[in-house]
Parts: sequence; C-alpha cells; structure tokens
Amino acid sequence: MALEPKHMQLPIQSQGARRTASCATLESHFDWLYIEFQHFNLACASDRLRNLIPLKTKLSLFVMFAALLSITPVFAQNPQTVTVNFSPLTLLSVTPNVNLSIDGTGVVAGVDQMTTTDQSSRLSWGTNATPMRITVATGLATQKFALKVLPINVSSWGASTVTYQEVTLTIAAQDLLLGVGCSRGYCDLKYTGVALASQGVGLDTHTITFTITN
Amino acid sequence: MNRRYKSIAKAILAVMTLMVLTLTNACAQQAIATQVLTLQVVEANKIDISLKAVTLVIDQASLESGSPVEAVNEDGVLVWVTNGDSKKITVVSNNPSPRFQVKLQAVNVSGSAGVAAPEAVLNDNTTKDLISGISRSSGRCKIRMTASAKVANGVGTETYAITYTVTGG
Repeated sequence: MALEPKHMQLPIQSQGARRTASCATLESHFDWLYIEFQHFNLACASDRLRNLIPLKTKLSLFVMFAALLSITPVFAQNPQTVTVNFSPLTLLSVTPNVNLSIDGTGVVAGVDQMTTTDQSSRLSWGTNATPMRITVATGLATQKFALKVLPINVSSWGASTVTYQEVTLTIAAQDLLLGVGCSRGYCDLKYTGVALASQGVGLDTHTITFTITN
Repeated sequence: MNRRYKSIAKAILAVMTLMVLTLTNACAQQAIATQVLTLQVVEANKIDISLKAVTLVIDQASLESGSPVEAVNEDGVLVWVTNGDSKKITVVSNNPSPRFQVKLQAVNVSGSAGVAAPEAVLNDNTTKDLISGISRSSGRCKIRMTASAKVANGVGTETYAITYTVTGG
C-alpha cells in the first residue's frame, strides 16, 4: 500500500516578534504559514521499487517525515514585524587649512581697504534629518582683521532648496546655509580677508567651526 | 497608596526615558567640522598717478624779464595707500643731466595723509622727497609740474621718465 499524501497543509500560529533596527518601517506579517506538500509521494514512483519496500518501512519513513515537518516550522512560525529605523545621520566635512595673505596683490592705491580672497575650500554635507542648517563660527574672539565667508558653487541633492548667505565671522554661530535637510551636497567656500591700511600689519589665526544642526 | 507611588514612578521613568531618547536623537542630528585659517597682513604699499603722460610746452617769453615763461601743469593726481609706518613718497627722474629744468611739488595733500616737501628739482637722476610723514593711510594730492628754460638753452625737446615710490621714511 502506497502512502501518497497528495496535499497537506500545516497551519502555524502567529505570535508576533518585533525587531527594531533603524526611518522607514519594514513590516512583514505571516499570520499563517501554509506548507503545502503537493505531489508528496512517499512511495516511490517506481512500482518496482514500491514493491521492494515493506509497508512497515514506509510507515516508519512517513512518521519520521511528519515529525520532521512538525519540528522544522517551529523556527519560522512566529509572524515577525521588522521595524527599520534609520536614525538621524549627519555628516559634515571641510578641507583643512587655508592661508590668506594681504601682501599688496590686489591692493588699490588710494583705497584704504585691502582685501584678499581664497576659494580653495570645499564643504560637504549629508543628512537624512530635517529641518537642518549649517552654521559657522570662529574661535578667535579678538580679530584684528575682518574675515568673511561665502558659499559658492552650491550643489545639493535633496528634498529642499538650499539657500545661503555671506557671513562675517564672529565667535557666535551664524547661519551659512539653510534648507540642507534630507539632502547631500557640497559647496566651495570663498573667504575674503579685509584689512584697512590704518590697521597696519598682523596675523589672525582662526579655528573655524562648521556645524550642521536643526 | 503604593499603587499611586508606583504610577508616579512609572511616569517619571517614562519621562526620563523620553528625555534621554530626545537628547540622543538631537545629538545624532548634529555634526561638526573645523578648519584652521590664517589671515596674514604684511606691509603693502601702492601708488599711482592719473596722468601717465604730460607735455609741457615753453613757447612764450616775458618782455620784462627777458626770459621764457614757465610752463605749468597740475592735472596729475597722485594716489597711494600704505599699512606701514613712517613712510614717504619720493620722486626720481631718469635724466641725469637735463638741458631744461623740471620741478615737482605735491599740492593739496589730502587730510592727514602726509606732509608735502618743498619743490623738488629734477636736475639729475637722484631721488628727491615729495611727501613725508605717511603712516597707515591712503591719500591723494595733485602734482604740480613746472618746466623752465633759459634763452641760452635754445630750443629742443626732452623726455623724462619720472618714478614715484612709497618707501621707508
């Protein structure tokens, strides 16, 4: 006698396990897991082979299979809710050092104000949070000369429109770029050093801090 | 009573947890990048003259003195700037032995930008003072040029290349 369970269903009760990973929520529910055995033929297809296997052996094999099937789904039976939370990620970098010098180049006779510029710096950012802005401040409390910074060649990929403005650096943080939320981008920084003839000569060393914040 | 304390304790715990989570979240949203920038200002001096070429023509004579009348020009404006201290402006001609005589003087020196020196005679190619007492300032003045000749000098044309310099006082 051949045992041929042509169609078999094993209902598996859901219990629900929740796993929290990191913005979007990914959930998959498996309330019931149906295991179907279609064309499950424990007996051999071959009549010849079928005849060779005793009934007792066939029954034993079926019991073992049934036991195996009843155990295996235990590991997959719970419905699972997977929640993936992307934590707020913010990245900010700036090229390290800049040397500005007012040495007569670009100085105009008869004009008291002397300026020099540098635009070799690049500021890059990336954030999945919103709303966000980038501020700038200097650590030099007593400046002899004025220093301004202007974002130029601003490129941004993201949900919002980035706006920017020129800032004269002080120790207080000031907004440099606005609307950088949920975006990545970069800009070049145009620094302008301004000295008056009446200020004489000297050296200012700034430690400039850029902060991306909400 | 105990139940009330437990409820209060639970509420406090919940609030504290919320605060910690909020703070952690806020910190995660902030990133900082720093950059060192040096701004150095060294001594810078600039000077310029508006009238690059001047022609002085002596074509009249005084019957009273019997000498040719001087030719004068005040159209040139000299401008300068310096962030150094104790500077002066000098003038020099490239003509070591001129046939005619050319004199220069700074007039109407602006503000406290400097003090005009007496009229400089370009009778050789040595450097003469034009303005002194210049420190950390920008300024301007007119350049008064006077050309004169004696009857004995005859007629002719001379060209002078005149150089103005801001230099240490």
